[in-house]
Amino acid sequence: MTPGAIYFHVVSKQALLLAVYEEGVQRILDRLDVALVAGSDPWVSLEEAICTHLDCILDTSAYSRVVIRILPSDVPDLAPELTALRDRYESRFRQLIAALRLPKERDSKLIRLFLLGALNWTPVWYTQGGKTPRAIARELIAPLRAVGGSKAIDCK
Amino acid sequence: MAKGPPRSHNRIQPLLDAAAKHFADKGFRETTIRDISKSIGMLPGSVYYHFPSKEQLLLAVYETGVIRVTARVEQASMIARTPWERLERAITAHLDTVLDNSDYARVIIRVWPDQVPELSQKLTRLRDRYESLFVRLIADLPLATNINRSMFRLMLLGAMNWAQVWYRPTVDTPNKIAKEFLKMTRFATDSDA
Repeated sequence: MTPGAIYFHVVSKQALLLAVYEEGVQRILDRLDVALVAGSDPWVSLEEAICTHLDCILDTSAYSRVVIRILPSDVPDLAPELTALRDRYESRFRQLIAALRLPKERDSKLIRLFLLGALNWTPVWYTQGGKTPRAIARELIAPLRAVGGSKAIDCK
Repeated sequence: MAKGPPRSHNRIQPLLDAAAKHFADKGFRETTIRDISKSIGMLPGSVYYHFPSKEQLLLAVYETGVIRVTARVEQASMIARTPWERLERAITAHLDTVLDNSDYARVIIRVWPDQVPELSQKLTRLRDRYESLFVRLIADLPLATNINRSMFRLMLLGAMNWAQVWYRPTVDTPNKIAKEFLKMTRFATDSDA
């Protein structure tokens, strides 16, 4: 392979990764938009968002899995772009958690990162035909709800 | 694991270390035995003498990583007095290990059993053995009945491992993170849900 050909190969592979990553993020955002209804109870909204995110990353055919498997540090050349893309949907979670109005002593940033980490690990242990994403989403929120002083409510 | 006489043991550690670095940096598939052997001035054939395949080399690296983090977590949690303190120390120790960014720690987080079908059962068993530490620690907590302990354990592991992605040492410390993570469930003891 000539040096030029190698360069082309690497550049186009990265461009492809970026495009897939972007698509993955956009799909999550699009589904979040559909799922979140303005004016809903913030706990309901958070549960919907978590459930949607789970649906996206547990679907083995989906682009969104790339978002959690490829980390910006894996592709240093693209790290800024990948980070910016991820921040786009993570900022949704920031808003959703802020809306919960948790006690001041709690660290919202660490709570957000806890939830995202917990979510992004699910593909490792999840088995098809096991708990539904909604059941998992509920259990993910349950401890936080106890802190927030809000009892579990029945959603759709 | 190792074949041959004891003298070859001093060749294995550098080989494992080099393998850990390559697997951590590039992942399992992208790494070749040639890359690893070249980085330590060994012939590929010599690598195969010790490890008949790339998979076997990964397994050895994975085992080492799991043994190390297990030892660290066990040691840290032993000196605690209450179940909450024990879990907090365990979480702190796990975070310390993960955030140290040692090559072995990065490999056990980054390489998932399903990525190496030939080894997926063995890798899963290794992970399960490590996770059983947390099963015990969480079993000891006085939690409200509506909290699913299995789910909490899986959430906790996910949250701890994700910290590698966002952690900045100047802002948070492993112990501060551990305390906040633990709060995700601590107050659930008072829940009347």
